[in-house]
Amino acid sequence: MNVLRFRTAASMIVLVVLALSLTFSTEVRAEAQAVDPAATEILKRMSDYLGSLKQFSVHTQNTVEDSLDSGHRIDLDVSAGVTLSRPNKLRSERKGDLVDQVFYYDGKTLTLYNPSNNVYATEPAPGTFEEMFQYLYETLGFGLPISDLVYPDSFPLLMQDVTFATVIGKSNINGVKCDHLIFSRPGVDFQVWVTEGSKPLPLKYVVTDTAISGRLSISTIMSDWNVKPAAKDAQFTFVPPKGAQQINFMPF
Amino acid sequence: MKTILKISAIAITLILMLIADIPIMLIDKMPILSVELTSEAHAVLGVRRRTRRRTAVVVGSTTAAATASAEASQQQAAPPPQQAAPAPQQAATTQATSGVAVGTVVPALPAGCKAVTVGDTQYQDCGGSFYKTAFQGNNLVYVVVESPI
Repeated sequence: MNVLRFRTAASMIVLVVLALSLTFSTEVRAEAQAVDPAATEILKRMSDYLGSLKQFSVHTQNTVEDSLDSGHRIDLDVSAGVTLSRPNKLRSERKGDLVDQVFYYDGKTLTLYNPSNNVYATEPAPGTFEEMFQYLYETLGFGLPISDLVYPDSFPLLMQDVTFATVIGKSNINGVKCDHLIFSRPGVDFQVWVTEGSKPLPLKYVVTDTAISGRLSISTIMSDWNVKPAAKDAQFTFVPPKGAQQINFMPF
Repeated sequence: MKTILKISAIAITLILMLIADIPIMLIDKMPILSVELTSEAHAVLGVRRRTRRRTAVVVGSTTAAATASAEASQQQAAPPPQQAAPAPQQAATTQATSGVAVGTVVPALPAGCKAVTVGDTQYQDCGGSFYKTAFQGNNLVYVVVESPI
């Protein structure tokens, strides 16, 4: 009798364990099949188009979600213009914002300049956007708007570890008709709104951290796209104005 | 009997393997609650957790004038986590003459500072405590340094 009860209990446990592992594996399989080629095709077109542009400039309105110690969620806003010249020149400006700030990158050095305080910090910089963004983010401790999208070939980087992708539908950003896409990989979801037609430009980009219960996002709305800004090399190189004081970046 | 033992041993092992996963999930979530980290996600570069203190500096800089002195005194009482970093100027726990710990980072200067230039470097002399301007990330901050004079 006892033996029988043991046997029943043991087989029950085995069944439960098997059932659990089965649920896990079906979930994994469901995710693997959930990458909609229609979504990746639009993302690829956008990435190819952005990569084909020798220069562009765009205005970005960035919102960083944060939460207060009290638990209330707040938005921190930064408005910035970005001008880019391939292969490795970039300038970003925060003007008429709370902070006047200009970032310069000319492929050799990067500089952060605060005109209102007339202070700047300069560092030798890696020669490619990829390495420069990584250096900014990991060593100096800040990022630039839309850095995710400006890599010469952003598609494989964006698609890395993506387990879910779909087209949500049509949407309208600042009067322009867009395709609204969502992509997901462990820890990060991102949504992108891409204009229809022959110039598939991103108009909105939202990245959400899904690894925390609060699920905070950074979102960017892009406007005033100029795909032929005729930017000169001098725009990307910082020349210290008279009386400007050089300061350092603190170790991050 | 042996079969039963075998079956239960396998079952228990499987259960233990499942349970072993749970603490890892908990450990993942715990620092977020206790250390109060907030995140900054990039699709390509990944997610970085910032400390609340760092965020406070960001928020502080927007309301710098109003919160500067409060922030400064707060940070005197509780040194910010940056001080723990083994950066050369922060490693020393020496106190500046006025008592503000060397390495203290504030988003705005206290009232009544005078600019002093020593060599090529500009300092702010705030009642005997010397501050050097620096970028922390892309935020302008002031770091207490040893007296340059």
